[in-house]
Amino acid sequence: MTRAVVTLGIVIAITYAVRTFAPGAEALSPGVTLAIGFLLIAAIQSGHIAGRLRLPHLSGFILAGLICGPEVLGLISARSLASLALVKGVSVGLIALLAGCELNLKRLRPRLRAVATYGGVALVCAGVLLFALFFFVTSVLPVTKELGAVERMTIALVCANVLCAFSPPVVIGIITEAGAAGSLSDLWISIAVLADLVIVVTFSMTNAIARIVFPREESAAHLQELLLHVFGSIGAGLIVGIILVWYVRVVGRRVGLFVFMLLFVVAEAGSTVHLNPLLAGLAAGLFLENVTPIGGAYIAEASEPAVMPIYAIFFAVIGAEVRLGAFMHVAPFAVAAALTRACGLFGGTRLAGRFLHAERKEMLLVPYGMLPQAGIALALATLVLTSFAPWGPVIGTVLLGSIVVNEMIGPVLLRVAVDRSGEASAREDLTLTKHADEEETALF
Amino acid sequence: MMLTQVAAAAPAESHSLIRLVLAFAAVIALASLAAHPRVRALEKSLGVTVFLASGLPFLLLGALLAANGVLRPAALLDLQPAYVFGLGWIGFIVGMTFDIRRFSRLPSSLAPVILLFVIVPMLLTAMASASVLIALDVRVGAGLWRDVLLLTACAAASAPASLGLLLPRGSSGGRFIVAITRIDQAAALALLALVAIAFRNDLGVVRWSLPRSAWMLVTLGLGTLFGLLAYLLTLRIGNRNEEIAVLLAAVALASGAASYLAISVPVVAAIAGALLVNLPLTEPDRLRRILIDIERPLYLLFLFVVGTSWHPGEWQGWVLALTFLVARGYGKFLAARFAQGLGPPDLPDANTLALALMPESAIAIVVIFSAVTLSGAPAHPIGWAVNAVILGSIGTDIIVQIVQRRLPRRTAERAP
Repeated sequence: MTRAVVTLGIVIAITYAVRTFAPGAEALSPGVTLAIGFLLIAAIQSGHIAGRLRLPHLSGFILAGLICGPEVLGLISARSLASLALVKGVSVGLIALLAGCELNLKRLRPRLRAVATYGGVALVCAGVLLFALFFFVTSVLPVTKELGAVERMTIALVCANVLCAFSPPVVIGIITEAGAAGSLSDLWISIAVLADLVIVVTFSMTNAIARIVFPREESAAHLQELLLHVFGSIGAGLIVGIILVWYVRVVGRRVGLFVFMLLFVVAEAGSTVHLNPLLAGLAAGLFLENVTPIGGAYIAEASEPAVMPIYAIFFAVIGAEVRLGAFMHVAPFAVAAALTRACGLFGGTRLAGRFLHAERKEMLLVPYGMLPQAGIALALATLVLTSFAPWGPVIGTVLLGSIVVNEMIGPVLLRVAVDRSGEASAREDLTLTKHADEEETALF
Repeated sequence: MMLTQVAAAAPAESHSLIRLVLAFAAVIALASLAAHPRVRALEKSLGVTVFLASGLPFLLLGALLAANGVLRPAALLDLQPAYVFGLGWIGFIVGMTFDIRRFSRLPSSLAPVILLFVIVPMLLTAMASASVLIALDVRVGAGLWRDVLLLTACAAASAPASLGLLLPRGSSGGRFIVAITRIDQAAALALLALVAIAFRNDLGVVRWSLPRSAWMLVTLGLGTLFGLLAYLLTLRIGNRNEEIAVLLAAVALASGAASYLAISVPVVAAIAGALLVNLPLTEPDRLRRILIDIERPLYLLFLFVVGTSWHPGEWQGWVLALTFLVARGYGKFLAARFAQGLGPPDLPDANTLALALMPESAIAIVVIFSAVTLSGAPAHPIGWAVNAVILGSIGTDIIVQIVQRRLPRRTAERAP
């Protein structure tokens, strides 16, 4: 731990010193490579420190980003952070691809009822409670209290929908980090992934309703764009899957790097046509695992060396994006929303568990996989923040604040649950991958 | 009116999207081809450099896509971090080959040979390129000395691409040739460091106002600091994946910091790499293997980005390329002639030595583009120097191939 602290100190000192080169924080180019290197080292070292404190490494990554980000130390400027959008897109794509590779629908079929019941009931319970909370909150906030009941109900519907989102990357990250495997791990991943698909689709509907209630010129185009976004992303994912199958069959070398390159292309092209790398990666992973003879495990093993840097950067960026200042302003509402959500999820899973006659242990542990929030929820909250004036900025900040709470506490609680499930360290060690067939000769 | 605008914009956007997707599809197809075992086998059997075998299509594709406007400026901007990182990674690998313990095992009589192979091509190239640049009306204050020095640095660097075909595997001659290439690559980087410092342009928009000598210290200090940091990071790591992560991070930080301070990225990374390899590492070979595993794809991506800013159309560049090729090649040939009788007894004969050290190292392209990055946009005359190095590399490879093909026949003729 001492070495991690010393290394972290040195890296912070170097980055701080280098940044004094420019007259203003934003005067020179944002130094994306510097930001990536710094975030990666800071995240890995913070992960080690968190590990020694018996916290998940992911919490260390997020904390490193939060502390070094624009709101606290300012070592990563807001501009640098914006420039990391592509890296974030690639990371989300890879995390989703690996999640898809884990989801064998045939193996999941006997548990599909459990996944649907747990996920569905928990989402409905959390959604209803959040709807009620936000209906009340809109009657208190100065910017919304003058609105009519229909308008306030619409806002509450949008908010409940956003805060129902889970975080497949965090769930997969924690499960991977713990080396967990088993029925509960499968359940956590399946619920998180499938629920997020539902959330993306339902958000397109609630968003459409909100645009009818709060009309703007481009409403029709926006709905069309959302549909294109969902189906286009799935289509792009299937194309990625087909290319990967072809590559593995014809070339079969450097598969991990090829996967990375394909996801870079999806993220790059996606930024032009608004494709969602999460949906694309997920579709590709599901296709590989369930349709092709290659199987997801092969792709997951080939991509294994990229997983650690990708996770470290992605979660550090997520941490750096936390708007701590805004959170402080809306902290009571945000904490109330997070608590309400947790109550809904715990109550919902308890209800679903009784209906399924599930074991008590499963019933108690399942909701922990639903607590973390990050990517999708952040994206949707930002959409609310920027799309609906004048109430969007205020309500969006409350949503972001609540996501911050879930983002910080969710991974820690999930890690505890994974340890208690008895499924930790059950996975095969993929780090000892065979590299003999990839022997390479030096260029230089 | 608004509707008309939207209708007009939509096909344009979809058209540019189709072109972008096609461009990326071409890159993916090329990458697949470059990694294909048959292509790799062909590359090895022919003894051509990676640049000619796999790199050239990437370079040409980059140039083609940028010239046709297929790649949007935003896409190029997105590739910029990969380019900076590529410069650093290649520099780091070159530094990692600079293991003092290996050099100390070489015979001392190899020292004058190494010196000849570094100095003679450099001198000839410097004189020839200076004459041509002056003839092309490049003035002293307009980048003459900078470009001459850069071409001189590029002339030194050689690649032992055809070693397997020229010499028996594991022969001491091969070991000597590899050692020579290690030193001449380091010489090229050292000269790049000097150019980067001597022709530094701060434009008065930075807080650090330092004399040139201080920038030299900053370069050395930064390299040393990142070397020590890389050592600290890789110390006692048992997991290969974490080792990959920390190496990526260390190189990214070194490259990013050097790029931010407008110092030569490959130089700083090479110093860090050289320091790291000479410190007591637990598993240096595993570290080296990780670096090599990622080296080729990064190099190809680097060439793709390089291609986007390459303008081969100017005739002056072609004249300079021809001069560079002849001067450098003749310099290597002369060095091989002079080396006979000076070096160790098992040094290969002059023709083999000259032929083995003739191909241009990929470092030459790294050197010239690192200088372009530091000096701003590639305009003349530095654009001509870029042409000279790229075309010189292609030309040298083709000439070496032609001569090499005649060699087995000669050997057969000699055989009883």
